[in-house]
This record gives sequence, C-alpha cells and structure tokens, in this order.
Amino acid sequence: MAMTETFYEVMRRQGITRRSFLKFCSLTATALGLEPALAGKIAHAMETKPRTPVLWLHGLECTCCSESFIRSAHPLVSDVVLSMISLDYDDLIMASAGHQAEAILTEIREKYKGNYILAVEGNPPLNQDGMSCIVGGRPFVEQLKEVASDCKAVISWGSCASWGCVQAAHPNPTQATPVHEVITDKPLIKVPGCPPIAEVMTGVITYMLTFDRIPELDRQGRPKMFYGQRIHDKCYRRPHFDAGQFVEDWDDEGARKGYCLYKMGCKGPTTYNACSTVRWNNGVSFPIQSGHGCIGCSEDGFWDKGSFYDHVTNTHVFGIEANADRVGIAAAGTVGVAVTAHAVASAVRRIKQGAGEHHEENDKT
Amino acid sequence: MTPLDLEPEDIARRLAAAFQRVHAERMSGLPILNPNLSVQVVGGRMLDGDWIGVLITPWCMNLVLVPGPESANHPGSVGVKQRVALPAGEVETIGSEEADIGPFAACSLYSPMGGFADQGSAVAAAEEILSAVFTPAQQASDAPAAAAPAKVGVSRRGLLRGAFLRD
Repeated sequence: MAMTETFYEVMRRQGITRRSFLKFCSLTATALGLEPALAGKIAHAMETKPRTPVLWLHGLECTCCSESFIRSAHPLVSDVVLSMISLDYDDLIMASAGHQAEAILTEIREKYKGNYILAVEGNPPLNQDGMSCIVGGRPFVEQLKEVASDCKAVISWGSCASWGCVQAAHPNPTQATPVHEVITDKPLIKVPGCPPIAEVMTGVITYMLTFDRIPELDRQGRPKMFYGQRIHDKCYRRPHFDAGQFVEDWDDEGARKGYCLYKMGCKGPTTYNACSTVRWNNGVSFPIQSGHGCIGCSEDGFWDKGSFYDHVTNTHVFGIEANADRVGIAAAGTVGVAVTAHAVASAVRRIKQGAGEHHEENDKT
Repeated sequence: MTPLDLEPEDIARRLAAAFQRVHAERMSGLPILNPNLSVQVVGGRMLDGDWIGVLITPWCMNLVLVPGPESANHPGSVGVKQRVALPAGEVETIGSEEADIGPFAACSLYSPMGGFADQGSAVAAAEEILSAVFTPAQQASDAPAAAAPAKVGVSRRGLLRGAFLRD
C-alpha cells in the first residue's frame, strides 16, 4: 500500500471496471449538483491523487450511522465509496480484529501522518476517566485524541458525535461529550442525524476525497449543501400547513388525506436536514410521508426538547440560518437596507438550491 | 378547476382573501403565528402569462405563481414539486390549491415568521426578494457563478423548448 497509490488504482484492484469508474464519476457529479462537465475533473482527480485513508472510530453509539452508510442508494456508489475510502479501520466492517486491528491504527497514523481523515461515530464519555467506553482495553477518549492528533480533518458522523444525542441527554451520567468539544485543533465537519441519510454521508465523504477540502459549512459546522434547509421548507405536505389543514388526531380524516402533522408534534419547522428532498431508502419515503411527524433527530439536544408529540410552541426556536436572517432583519431597522439585502440574498440562494446541490459561490466564504 | 384569466390585481385580491379566511378560521390561535403580522400580498406581476407575487401571512411567506390559461407552468396536484424558471434562475415550487384561486405553485421563503418584527419588515423583505428573482442571473452583481464555464449540453426543459435550434 504505497503512498502513491491513487483512488483509481485502488478501485481497479477492488475489481471495479473502467466503465463503472467513469459512471461513478458522473453519478458523483450529479449527486453533488455539479455541472456534468465536472465528471471529467473528478475522474482526473481520482486517477492522479493519492488515496486518502479514512479511519472510522466508534465511541458511545449504536452503529446506526454505519448501517445507514453501507446502504447508500446506488450499489455502484456504495461499492466504489467503500473501496475508495478504504476503511482501513472500522469496527463494523474491517476484516481484522483484536491487536491486529489496533495495530492498523498506529500504522496508518505513522504512514499517512497529517494526511488521513478521521471519521468518528459516537462520542467519548469523560466521567470516571472515560471508563464508560473502553476500546482495546483503554478509554475511547484516549484513542480519539491520539488518532485525531495526526489527522487532516474530522468528520463527526451522526447526532452522537455532533451534539451528544441520547447518551448526553439530561442528566448525562457518563458526561458523554460531542467530538468538537474534545478535538478543538482540527477542521471538523458535523453530519448530524440519527442516523444521517446514506446519500448525505457518501456525498460529504466523496466531496472531501475528490476535492481535497471540506464543503462549505454553516455556523454550526454542518455542510450547507445538505443542511441548508428545513424539512418544513421542502415538505410535500407544506401546502396543507400553509392552508391551515392539520391532522388533529391519529387516523382522523386529515391523517387519511395527508394533512400537515404540525399539531401532532412534527418538528419539521425547526429541523435542518435533507429528508424531505433526498428522503430515505433509495429515496422511497421519509417519516412525514409515512404519516408520522419529524422528531428533529438532527438538531442539537433533541432528546431534551420535550415529547415528540408536543407541537412547536416556541416560534423563536430557529436553526442557525434563520437566526442569521432574523438578526439581519431585526437590525435592518437601524442600519438600513444592506442587512435586509443579506437576508434576502440568502433566501433567494436557498430557494434556487436543490437538495445536496453544491454551489461554487457557497464555497467563497 | 381551470386556471384563471384575471387581472393581476384580481388575483392578488383573491389570494389575500383566501388566506385571510385561513387565518381567521383554521389557523386561529396557533402558537406558530407571529401576532405582529397580517395577511398581505406583495407585488404581483405577470411573467409569460403567469402571475407571480409574494404572499405574507403570520405563519409563512411564499413566492406564489398562479398560472395563466396558456401557462407552461401548470402546477401538479397538491404536494407535487416542480421547478419553475424565473429570470434569476430556477426555483422549486410545490403544487397547492385554494378555492377562488384554483391550482397554484408556492415556494417557501420563510416559515415560521418569528424573525419579522413587524409587517413593514416583512413587506420590505418580500419586495427585495421579488426584485431579486426578477433580476436576470447574469446581471446579479454577487453571482460569481456566472463566471463559471457555460453549461455544456441542453437541459431537459431547453430540449423540449428547442433551445438547441436557437444556439
């Protein structure tokens, strides 16, 4: 496994044909919302760039992120991505075990110093010296800090790594702590959700490996290309919300007509994720389409925000993008049109952007 | 229902009346309403025979397209998404329907509306957005995307409209 091996060579070694490789490049361009012409650039990058190893650590978690990831919709994409990122270390799917597995961590750290990506699923508990999560006989937090010290960038998979999730819910007995509070000196991208959508995960990782940089993030550290809009903004039941047509009780007339689930506790109006556009299980459906409200699983602290069935009563609970807009508009009264123009520009950019689409102008910030 | 053949002012009036009814009847008392706002239709001009304006309500602000009789943008049934070409670029709309208006397409701008201090700021934002979506993409000063390489090939919409014949 020489340092000079390219993604393309790795793929060929894994039995992926040139035809499949090129198809993958065009699928990737499409999935990322890039111009078709960029497929050639992606192919060129993958033929010439040395492969970037990914180490995938598991802390306190349930493995739902990995389970989601390996179910990426297009079989070719999951084949290619899995071989491309060559999960040298991943508890769920690596072949090695025991000391041999732990030795891989050390080997990759030394060989690819400063040049590998660390993906973290779950989070470290800090109470009792981290004894609530032991990997290879040592607290997970030690392993995390060691591996992070030589990595290029960190991906926080899922709500556990991004926010803390259920193990960090009140009273958080193990002091489960999101990754960005433990690793503070590396570029970090949060991909929240419980689990995140498979296509979002492969989209983020393909982008990072192909373009060798992290996509544009919002102020909470989430990639804007997938977390720039609320479920509510793109929900197919939105016309019923606008028209005040709500499900009032499970299995009532409104439920059968597919009315809005806001009164049944749907958190769509305050949740940033791509479920209402990318959807789940090869784009088949998503919770609201199955008749249940969004529980807001990709938002910070969703376990501590009351019942899944209480409707959003606090309209000031906004995600960060709306916050930016609100600040802009509130300030507009005093500083004039410029700030409103900012809010308007971001609204216009938002409505022109499809799910998962990447816009070069977003990268300029 | 068939698309309307009405004056722009009539459409704006009917749209406002329909949502004033929704406000008074179905939305009444919900905590998601911003009490400082009221139902108002802003702008409303014709583009290729379709009426386009902004609908402000205490619970949402939408860019609304009411198709004219000869419209190329017939909204699908309620909940069906469709991309609509505006001078500033394509936006995704969702099919909707109201009595007195018939089928129309809406694109969410803001919802909930807690971010707006008063009706004036909501109207100002609506006017800015309308002028932004009617500004052709090439003229927009803050669009470095325009400098990107020109689109290769023909879009599906372009193909059906014979764009390749004009090039």
